Amino acid sequence: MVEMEFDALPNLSGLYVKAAIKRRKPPTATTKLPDLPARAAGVIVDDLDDYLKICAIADDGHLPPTYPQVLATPLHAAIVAHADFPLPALGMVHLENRVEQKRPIAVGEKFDLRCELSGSEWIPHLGLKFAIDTVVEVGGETIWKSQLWALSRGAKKDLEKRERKPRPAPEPGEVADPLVSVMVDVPADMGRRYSAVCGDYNPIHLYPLTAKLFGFKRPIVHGMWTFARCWAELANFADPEDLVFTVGFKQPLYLPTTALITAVEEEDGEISYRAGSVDGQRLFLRGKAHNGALNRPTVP
Amino acid sequence: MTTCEQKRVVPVPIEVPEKRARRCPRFAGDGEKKTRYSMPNYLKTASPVGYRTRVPLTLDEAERALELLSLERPTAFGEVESATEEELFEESSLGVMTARQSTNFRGHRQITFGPDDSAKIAHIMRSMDALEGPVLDGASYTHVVLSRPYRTSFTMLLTIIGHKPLASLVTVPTRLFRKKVFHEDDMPTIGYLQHIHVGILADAMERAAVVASAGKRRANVFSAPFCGERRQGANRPAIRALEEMCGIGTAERAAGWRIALAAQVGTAVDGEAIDLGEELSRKLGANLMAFRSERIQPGINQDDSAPAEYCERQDMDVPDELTVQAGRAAYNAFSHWTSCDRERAKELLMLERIDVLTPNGKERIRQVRKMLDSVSDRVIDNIPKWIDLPLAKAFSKAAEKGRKAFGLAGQRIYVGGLSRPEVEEEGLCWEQAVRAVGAAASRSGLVAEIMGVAELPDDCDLLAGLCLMAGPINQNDIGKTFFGHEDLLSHQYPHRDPTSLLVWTLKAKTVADPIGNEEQLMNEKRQGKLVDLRPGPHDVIEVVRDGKAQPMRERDGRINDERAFYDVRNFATCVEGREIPGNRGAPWPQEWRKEKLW
Repeated sequence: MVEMEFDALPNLSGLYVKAAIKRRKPPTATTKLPDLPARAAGVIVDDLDDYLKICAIADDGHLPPTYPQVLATPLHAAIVAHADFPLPALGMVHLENRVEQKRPIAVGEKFDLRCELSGSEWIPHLGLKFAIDTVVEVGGETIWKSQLWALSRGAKKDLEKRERKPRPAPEPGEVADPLVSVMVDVPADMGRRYSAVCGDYNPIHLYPLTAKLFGFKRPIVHGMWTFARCWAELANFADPEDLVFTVGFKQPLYLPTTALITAVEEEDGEISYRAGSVDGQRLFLRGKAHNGALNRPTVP
Repeated sequence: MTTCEQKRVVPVPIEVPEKRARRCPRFAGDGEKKTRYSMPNYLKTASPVGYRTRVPLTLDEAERALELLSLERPTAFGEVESATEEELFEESSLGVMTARQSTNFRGHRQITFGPDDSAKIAHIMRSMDALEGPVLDGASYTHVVLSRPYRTSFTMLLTIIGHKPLASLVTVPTRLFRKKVFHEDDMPTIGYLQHIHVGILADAMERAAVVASAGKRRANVFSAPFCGERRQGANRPAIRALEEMCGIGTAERAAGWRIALAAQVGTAVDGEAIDLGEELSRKLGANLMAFRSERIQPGINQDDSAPAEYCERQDMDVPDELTVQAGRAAYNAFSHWTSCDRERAKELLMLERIDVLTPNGKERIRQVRKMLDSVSDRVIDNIPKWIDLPLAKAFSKAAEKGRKAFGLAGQRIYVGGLSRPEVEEEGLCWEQAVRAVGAAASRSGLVAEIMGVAELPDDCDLLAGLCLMAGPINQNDIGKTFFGHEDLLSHQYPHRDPTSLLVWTLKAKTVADPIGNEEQLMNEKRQGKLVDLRPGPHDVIEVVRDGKAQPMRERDGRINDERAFYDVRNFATCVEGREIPGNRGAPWPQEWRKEKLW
């Protein structure tokens, strides 16, 4: 096992190009993933303004729980670009994320970031689903960790066919008594603006033409932006201590659009949230946030 | 400067009818045509209002709430306390963001200053003439409100009314030019509307400070020094100094913006705090967000497509004692804002009350309707064809549609007005008296609105409501100005040269107007170009901090999505209990809401 160790977070664009030009075969049911840990020590974030602004998150002096994942993206790219990594980088789909935060990380606090491949599962009609774990440590103590699941599509010939059941039409309107129900305008340049902040210049996020080259009718926004934008609405309700924050990415959010973000309190105290189209026909993502106690904002 | 003792308004419960109905909106199904009776599909707005429902109060709570209808000016402020952002937002939600007669006019802007600037403003204001009361030391903050002439799609239509066919080729453009450049009005009551709106806002701001702070703060509102050419002339240096602080430049002045009032807000001193309590304040605030103009009297003026709940006449009446209290609130407001003796105020404020359910009332209302209809007919006949025909008769269609705005229904109809010669003889400023009529009408209406939620049963939307209208007055004024008609109030006050200013109808009923009527105010796709109905805080409020004016709730890529008093959860639902997407909004980030502003 070789650990990739970086003194500073590596440049994402270079790694993307490196990963993209590597010719690799699509996975099969027998594809095995190697151990490929990556580490960056002594990371300090002292300027979050652009990220907070673009995601509409209020500055509370701490990193939002979604941000370490953004920081870890270059390490993930380093893993994917590594010669021993067997899956093609192009066409990989980010499926879901589970973030566990013991306590929020203060802006200016020094921490170490560690990432590693942690598991895989062959989905007969889709391909290989694999996980990358990311850990933030301060003085050897884990204070934040995430598990990201992505999909590398199998070749058509290796996949089983699945019958698609017609989905029932969504019920009109909104569930009763939501915590949040808010319309968010997502402008045409949001992909480019977020790319400039997070360094992920994947062409599918940039321009109509570059998105079309990769099979998208229009540019799509980064799933991690939508995830963070949802956090901006949930932050009033979810305690950042001992937080578990999950997301499942469902359909791409084509730009420009207006998204509807909703959150409801479940009977067990968890917050379920989703971002979808205004007419309820498309679901971009959904997930949960919980930490035992719901935090309702106090009123004057 | 006189002190005028106001009379306490007492609660008068409204009898709950045996047969009750309530609004039962549904979302339009797939392929089903959406109507005004359907739930709106979504709400996208920065406004603090949203689609809300009324919140029941107990009789005791209603009684405490009615205290707000006889507030005297504070005599002093306690210690300066910096307001939090959320307090200021909620106070402004009850004030400049909502308080006006006509929801289709955005004619107010507010600039709010902290304690240091408030001290400067107090110093400037002390040099002014015609102050309604003493300027106080120790204001925690001060709102300065700007107002501009009343202009809506209706006033655009007015431009082409009252011209001779051939001469109209010259007189229409001339009038348009004079309106645009010199802010001249087509007829007097349009000019008065600006002041009626300011009067309503001034009255609301006094209550807003109390409700938003659960009674801990009081507002000292000054409107008179900014009224009338004579006072404006006398107070010019001070007004200029205030304008400079507000950053009003030539462009704003050319657009007609002028300072209309200033409100000092500070900590109430012992004996002047209003004991509303936290819970009642929240419920009252949420109700004030929910009160709407109620135009439909079930079984009387609903349209043909109305569902069953609007078609059956309800056996209800506005109790006589309630109309007495509504009158009391009106006289309170008029004397408060004119600083005129209460008994004299009762003589000056002309009120014609039409009891619609009596034979005389029925006859009178028929007369009024006939007069208003005849004006509509003449307006349509006289619209210059060279403007109307190329626009596919848009103007005559608009005039035809306008008839709806004059729908006079309800058990009690009031026409309020003043006699200009009598007001001037009394030594009062006409504009200030007009403002006071606005305050009087809205305060009087609040009696019905508050009692309309007292002991409100679960299966009713309300027990009484109000529709405050200028439409019939303006229609009457078209008749007066262009076709030689008499004033509406001439019938009741034949020898006093009256000028009617507002009409308001009190309705006892249990079903609220269709939610689609509100949608006209909140759905951007249904708003006309000149109609901008529910502003967000960033649209109309600037907060001055460290000498810099910042739009309220526009920060780091966000604008407001919060509905004021959202914690009361009085959001409209369909009969199955589902909500309108986007209606609930989201609270402003806690870190920002809790921030002390100064």
